[in-house]
Amino acid sequence: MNEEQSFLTELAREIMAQGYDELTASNYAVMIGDTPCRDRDGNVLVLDGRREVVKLKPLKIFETESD
Amino acid sequence: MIFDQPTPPEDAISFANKILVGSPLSSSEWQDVPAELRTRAFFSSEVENVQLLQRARDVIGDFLANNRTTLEDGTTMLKAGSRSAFVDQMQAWLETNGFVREDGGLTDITSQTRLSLIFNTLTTQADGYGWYRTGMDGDVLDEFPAQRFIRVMAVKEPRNSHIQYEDQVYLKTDPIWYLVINEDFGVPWGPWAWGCGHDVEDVDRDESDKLHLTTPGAPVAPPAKDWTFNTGLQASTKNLDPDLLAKLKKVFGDKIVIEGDTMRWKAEGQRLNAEVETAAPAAPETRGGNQSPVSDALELHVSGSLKTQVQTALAAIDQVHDDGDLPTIPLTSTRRSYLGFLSYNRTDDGLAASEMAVRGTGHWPALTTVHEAGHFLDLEAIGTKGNFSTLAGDPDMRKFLAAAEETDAIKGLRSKLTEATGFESRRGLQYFLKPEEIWARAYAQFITEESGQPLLVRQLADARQVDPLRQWSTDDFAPVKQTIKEMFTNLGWI
Repeated sequence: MNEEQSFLTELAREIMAQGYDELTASNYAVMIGDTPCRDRDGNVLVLDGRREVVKLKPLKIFETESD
Repeated sequence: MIFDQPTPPEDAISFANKILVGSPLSSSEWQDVPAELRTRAFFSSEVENVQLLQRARDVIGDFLANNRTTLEDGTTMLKAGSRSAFVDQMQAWLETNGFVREDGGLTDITSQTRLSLIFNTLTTQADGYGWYRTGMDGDVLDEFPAQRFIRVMAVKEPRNSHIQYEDQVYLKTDPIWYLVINEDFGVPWGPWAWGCGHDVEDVDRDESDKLHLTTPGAPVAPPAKDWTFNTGLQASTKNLDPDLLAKLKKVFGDKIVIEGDTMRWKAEGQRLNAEVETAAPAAPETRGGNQSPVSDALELHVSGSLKTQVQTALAAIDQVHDDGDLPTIPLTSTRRSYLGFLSYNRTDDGLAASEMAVRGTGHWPALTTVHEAGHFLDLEAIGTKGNFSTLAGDPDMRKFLAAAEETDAIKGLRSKLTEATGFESRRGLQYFLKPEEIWARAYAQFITEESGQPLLVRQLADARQVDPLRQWSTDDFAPVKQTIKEMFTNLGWI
């Protein structure tokens, strides 16, 4: 599970940098998982089913590269 | 591959039906042209003169078909019985048609060196194709379903990337032959690379069954891609770099036909008619004979080894099932800590997949590609489009999740979660037990087991070695696999 621990830790840290405590950030990280939802502005939406729990600012961890 | 009999006539005919393509492209530039088009073309690097190509094709066609000519005294002889005959006839034709000898080197079309290379390359490829076609015949494939990659000749500079496959056995229908092993030509027959000393030998049904490549008594699944010349090979333009596509359009002009997302050569009139008359019914592109494979929904923006891993994964998916109707999204790479992810957007119309990303430096990129494709299908193709079926309560998905809950792997994860006290370990377990994650891991295992794709099989084993509960043992997974099969059958995908 080390691979998942790595990205969940990095994701939770980045969420904490937006002002959330560790437990909340950790829960949000699990909810986002490897299926992040974004709005038109690139904000990351934490969803519970289809219900929006919170809107996070864009997260660098989801930046990608095109070759 | 040892040839002790003439190349089958069918393959000489297929060779004669190749499209003449004169162009200024160098050999390395030709490498960028999709294999489906290269295979169908008769060309030589930096040769634009179509009459020259036609003459070369005719002479080599005579050689392959063992065509004979009648002399004045009534005796007959081969029109072109050897490489030296080809060189002699071509040099005579070149001189008659005003080609002036240059430096006699490899780039001089009049030289023995260049003409011999043309002859060797084309006849070796024709022989390789003949061997492939014979081996794919239904009865032969059933009796000899696999082949072993062997060294048949010592070479000055052995290709390192081929060493790992030496003496390995794969099904003849395995995409690994054209996606991974034949890295120079991208086709499922030899030669397997420039200057390569490898070839293949047949592996019979008994050995194939023992290696679990086939199931005793069960037929071999047809290949994911049909490589027969007569069905009019065409290439997808979706995954082509736009710059390359523009270059091909410019270089080949109206020689190439682009329709929708496919491209093919414009056939030569007389030969096209002959081809159409003898054409066999088109073989299905996928196992179920469906026409919208998952790979068509992903625009690849990756390169190098990651591209190979992704293509291998997508070929395995295409081999197993069709997808229905997926939107097209880009597949990119990530260098962050994620193995991969599928992102989606919330719009006024609902949820819509927007991008798939895979990390090339992850431990199992091909398996990750299939895992993320599982999320893609969950959102866009299973149940109501724009809803994750794992969360929306789709009936077939509910059956799948119920079956998964009964497995030792999921029970083991739940047990560990009950006992876990550490912050990070609880977080990891909670993530693993999300319905959509159970689905994506199961889907990756389903594709791996159903396709038998060796790279995926290895990566699945690696994933289980890291954490035995991450994936399932084959026995533990069997009831889960059955629910996926039923779901896909109901969806009309298999």
